[in-house]
Amino acid sequence: MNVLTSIRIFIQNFFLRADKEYDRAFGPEWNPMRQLGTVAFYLYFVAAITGIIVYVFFETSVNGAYESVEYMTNEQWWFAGIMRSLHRYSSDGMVLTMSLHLIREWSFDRYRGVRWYAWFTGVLVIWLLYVSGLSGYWLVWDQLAQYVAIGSMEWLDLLGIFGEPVATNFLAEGSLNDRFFTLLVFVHIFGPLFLLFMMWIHVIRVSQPKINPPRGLAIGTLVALTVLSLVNPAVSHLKANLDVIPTELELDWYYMAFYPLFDAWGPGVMWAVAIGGSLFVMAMPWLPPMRQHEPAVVTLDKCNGCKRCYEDCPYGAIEMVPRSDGLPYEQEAVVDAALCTRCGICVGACPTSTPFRAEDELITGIDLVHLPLKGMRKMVDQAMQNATDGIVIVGCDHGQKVDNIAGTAAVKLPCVAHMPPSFIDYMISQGAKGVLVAGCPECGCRFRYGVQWMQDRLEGRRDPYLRKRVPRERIRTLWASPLDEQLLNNTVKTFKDELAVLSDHVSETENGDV
Amino acid sequence: MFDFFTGDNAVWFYAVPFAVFAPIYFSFVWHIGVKNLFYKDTAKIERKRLQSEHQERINKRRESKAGTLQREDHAATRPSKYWLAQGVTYGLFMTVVSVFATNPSYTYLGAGEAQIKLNLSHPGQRVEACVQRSKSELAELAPNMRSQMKCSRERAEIKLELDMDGQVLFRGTAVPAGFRRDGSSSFYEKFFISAGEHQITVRMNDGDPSKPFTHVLSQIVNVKPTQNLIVGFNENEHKFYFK
Repeated sequence: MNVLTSIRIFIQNFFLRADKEYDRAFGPEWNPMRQLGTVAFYLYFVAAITGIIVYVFFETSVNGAYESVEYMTNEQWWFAGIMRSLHRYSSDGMVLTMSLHLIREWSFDRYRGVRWYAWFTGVLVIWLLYVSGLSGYWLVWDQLAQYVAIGSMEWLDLLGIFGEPVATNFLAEGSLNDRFFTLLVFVHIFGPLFLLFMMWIHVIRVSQPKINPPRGLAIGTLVALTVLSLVNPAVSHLKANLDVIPTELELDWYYMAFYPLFDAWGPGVMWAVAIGGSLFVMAMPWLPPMRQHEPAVVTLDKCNGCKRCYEDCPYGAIEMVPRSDGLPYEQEAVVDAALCTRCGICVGACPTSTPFRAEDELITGIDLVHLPLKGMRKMVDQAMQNATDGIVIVGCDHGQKVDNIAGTAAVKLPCVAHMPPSFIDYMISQGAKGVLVAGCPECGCRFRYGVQWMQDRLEGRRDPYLRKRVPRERIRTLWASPLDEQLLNNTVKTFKDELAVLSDHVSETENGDV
Repeated sequence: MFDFFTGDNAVWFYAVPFAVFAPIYFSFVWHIGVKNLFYKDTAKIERKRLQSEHQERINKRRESKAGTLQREDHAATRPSKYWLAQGVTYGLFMTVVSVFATNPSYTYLGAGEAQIKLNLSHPGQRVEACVQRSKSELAELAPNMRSQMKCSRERAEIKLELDMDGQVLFRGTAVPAGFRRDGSSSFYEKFFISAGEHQITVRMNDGDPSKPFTHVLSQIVNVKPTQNLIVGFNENEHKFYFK
């Protein structure tokens, strides 16, 4: 394991631990660590609405800008002041949640394959967020604005695209005129509009994207930021004076962490860091190690166009198109390779994915190339032979550590919902005492809906169902974090005990003792 | 007051753009959804109703097939009662947002320091001197192009030096802007210095680089703490200034 992988795993474990704790505190659906992207979206709208209100009080002139902001903070603190603070803290919160969202997705390796698009456009979202946020700081026209404005212009001047250095516009008092503030207001309105557009592009390829946090979390976040605005309202520095150099500055580190580096290293290095860093991050989905298999494939003569795979695919990677082979069905499934995550949930949804066939007939309507149905049955047969206590655990590659639990054998799939319910029927009918399906925590499935679909299939709410004849007492589900090893061991132990009681009861019944 | 036909605030000045662009704008807004506020799309509503009924039938069929199984109490949809832990989380969020919104403070300029900003944008002398056009040359030109002097466009590079108390602060050369090198040469540099009295000297050569400096200013300047001292060039008076 190289250093980078170690760091990634370390951060992943941090998030898993946080998920575990927040699952207890908030419940899985409200867990803020799983809602970082939606909270960032939400904070954008908080900032946008409060920004419109603040604009009502704002005056777009060199002398009026600072005074109008001071008026909001000191005279109208009970409304405009709170709105100003909310505007600031929500935009800060957006950087915070967006950064955590980025780190989280990286640590869970969720930026390759089909996810490249969201990752790639996410970098553009970051740039636009910074343009939007920093242009807002200029409008206050205090010493911080003066520092940021001059720094930004000196940074831009290195490009040499302007005839004369733009920073000379901030040379001395009297250099600026009121129209400059009109221009700034336009930048601060159109920047966020472009940002919103890019946020839309960011999620456009996601099927059923979640952009709104659960209502409780949204209310909690808004209340928290309002309390913060009352307790620690946003205030300005002294009024900007271009003849005087500011000494001590209370930087907003969410937006301005790069400026001290700029002072230390100069504009050339900072351009190299900004452009080089952005290009590197954008290129990450295609950098080694590549972990991509072939996309799912449709075997047309086994596909009757039932749409189950189409309905279950969490990424909208399956399209139903008019039949092309002359068979008497209306439609057939077609896989969009660019959207397929190779999770196998479609295989689990296909009614032809059944193990109750001879080996040479084990062909299903839709299948994974790297782990076809035949392979899955081989794994299952092998596991049943190895399970000395008769318990087979169905796990996934990204969830709980199901290997090496005494007396059991594991079948590991890309996602637990890759396994059709008929395989559980098969295992029980072939002599397995019990089957434990152990996947990712609820609301924490790597493939979005795998846990939910599997649970629904087992409980008979979603096609294909687990057949009625399968004794439910021989099936357990455990949706938990990979860090919950103790919980997994305890569940296996309890399950074993229950199965033993069940076996005793059955043998007693067979012997006529009851 | 508005004057309807003349003056800066003539009504037509506002009315004409409004008359041209407002229909385009409102037609766009209308078609992207505002019309739905006034006229309900009955076909769409009916389609939705049919879809929902169809889904309901499917659900019922599935439930009847599935037998007696009931939906379990899912952790995901169960609201948590750990309000205190939630409060602590929101508190942590507030603290992290609040702290890094202003802390730690950053010292841009140390105590007793000031800044010199060297800023000028000045066109160098022409690389080739202008020559008088002869009458025959003028006659060959179009009437609107008959300028008496014939000048090359290219300007000389500018060499600039800035010293303080005998120490070099800056030595540099700037090329003229533009593809034909016919624009101004610009300098923008800043230096942090200690406040107090300093002998500041600035020299510029805007012509032949082999010749001495064409403009020089040397002066003792009392620089106050936090002062932004501008070293510039006044194009009207054709000389340097300290401000």
